[in-house]
This record gives sequence, structure tokens and C-alpha cells, in this order.
Amino acid sequence: MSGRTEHGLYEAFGKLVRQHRERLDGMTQEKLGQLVGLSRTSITNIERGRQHVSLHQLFAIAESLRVRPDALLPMVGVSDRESKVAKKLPPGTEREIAEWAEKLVEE
Amino acid sequence: MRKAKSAKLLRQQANEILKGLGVRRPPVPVEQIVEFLGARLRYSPFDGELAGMLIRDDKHTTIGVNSLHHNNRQRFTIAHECGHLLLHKGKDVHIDRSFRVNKRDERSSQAIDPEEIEANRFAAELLMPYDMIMGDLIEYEIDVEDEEELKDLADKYQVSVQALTHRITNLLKDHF
Repeated sequence: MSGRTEHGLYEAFGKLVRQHRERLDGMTQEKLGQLVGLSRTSITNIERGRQHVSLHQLFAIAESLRVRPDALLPMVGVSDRESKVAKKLPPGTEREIAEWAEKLVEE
Repeated sequence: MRKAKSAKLLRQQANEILKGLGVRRPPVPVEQIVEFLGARLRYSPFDGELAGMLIRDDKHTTIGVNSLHHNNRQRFTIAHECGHLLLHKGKDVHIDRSFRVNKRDERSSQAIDPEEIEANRFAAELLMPYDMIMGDLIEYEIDVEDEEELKDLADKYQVSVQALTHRITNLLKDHF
């Protein structure tokens, strides 16, 4: 796992969960918790990156939020420092080129 | 879209750098020029359509080169990025996928983008400086049709035969 700390990864995942949840009408943390069999507090913690989900929970969350599981997965290898470079790249830049650029600047 | 700057204007800028570094004969030291311009040079392999890149961030200006390319091509890429560095300050990132020295790549807009034309012209002026190349053309009476002669001259400048042919063609156009 290059360029992203474990905590950063769960935080980014949590943010995505929250964004997708808030897009749905009436999908409170409580409601999502009920759908996936977790407490409201667990959902809060997941969204803050404090609780680590298992694979089956990822699928359950995605199903409840009506998205594909990969929509909740953060892009790997993009740390905050690197994404500064990524932001400068023109939209539509191929991922391979973006990663190449990030590696160059990182050194 | 604006028109690209003329080769002569770019020639002056290239010559100033060469003068500043005291370069009198080929091959032109591109790595030294990058340093002279205050940038960092990074070589990195890329398996695909990418020649090089110029990246400006708050700390550095970095020139990245695809290290899988032939040495002559890498030199051209570096010179091309130096052109962007010097001439096009407005953009933080220049990505150069695979500019052709000779033929226009119909699929890409890079061949008609004035900034790309300028960077290519600048690279030619930098790697094959006007006075040096004219001197050689006259001294050795280079026959453009003679592949071996062209190859020898290209080796002297560490450029591809393609880049050299293109350069000579353009110089002849200026003269006649």
C-alpha cells in the first residue's frame, strides 16, 4: 500500500460511505446501520475511519447505498502530497500517467 | 489560436543558454542545461505513449523523461521540456505523450498546438544550434540523400536522423 497510511485509507473509505449515504433521502446513520446489521455508533465510526469494516460489510453497505462496492474504494497510492500534483493534471489524464508524475515529484 | 513564435526568436533564446554555459561544440549537454535553468531531471520508465513531462510545484520544477526511450529521443524530450519551461510559464504541467519530430501525428492536437510547435522548434535550436549545424553542412558538404552522412552527423549531435533531417529541411526552407 504505497503512499497512503492505513488510517488514511479508512478515513477516505468513510468519507465515500458518508457521501453516498447522504445522497439518499432519509438514509440516516441509524437506517444504514439497521440495513447492514450494525449500530448507529458503528456507522459513525466507520464514516470517521475509526472502525475497520470487513469485506462482507463492505458489500452490505454498498448494497444498502445502491452503489457498486468499488465505488466506495478510495484510489490507492494517492497521498495528500501527491494529490497536489494530481490536481494540476488536466482532467482526463490517464491514471498511469498521473501515477508516473506523482512518483517523479515524490523523490 | 495564436501563432507559434518563429524559429529565429527561439534561436536567440537557445543561443543565450548555450552562450551562458559556454557550449561551443556538439553534443549539447542537455542535463547541464536543465540544471542551468534551475530544474530537476528525473528518469523513469513508462511503458506506453509518454515521452516526458514538465511539472511545476511549490518547491521544484521537475522534468521527467521516459527512460525506456532511445537516448537520442530522451535528449530531444529533455530539450522540448526545457522549451516549455522557458516559454510557457502559465501552465504548471505539460504532458508530452509522443510528439513526432518529423511527421505530424494526426490523432493528436499536439502537432498543431502552438506551444508544442514552439517547444519542438526550441528543442531543434538547442540540440542542433544554428551556427554549428550550418558550419557542418557547409564544411562537410552534406548530401541529404546520403543516409550514411546523415547518420554520422546525427551521431555527432546525438540526435535521431529523423530530427536532423527535419532540421536541415527547415534550414533550407529559410534560405531559399
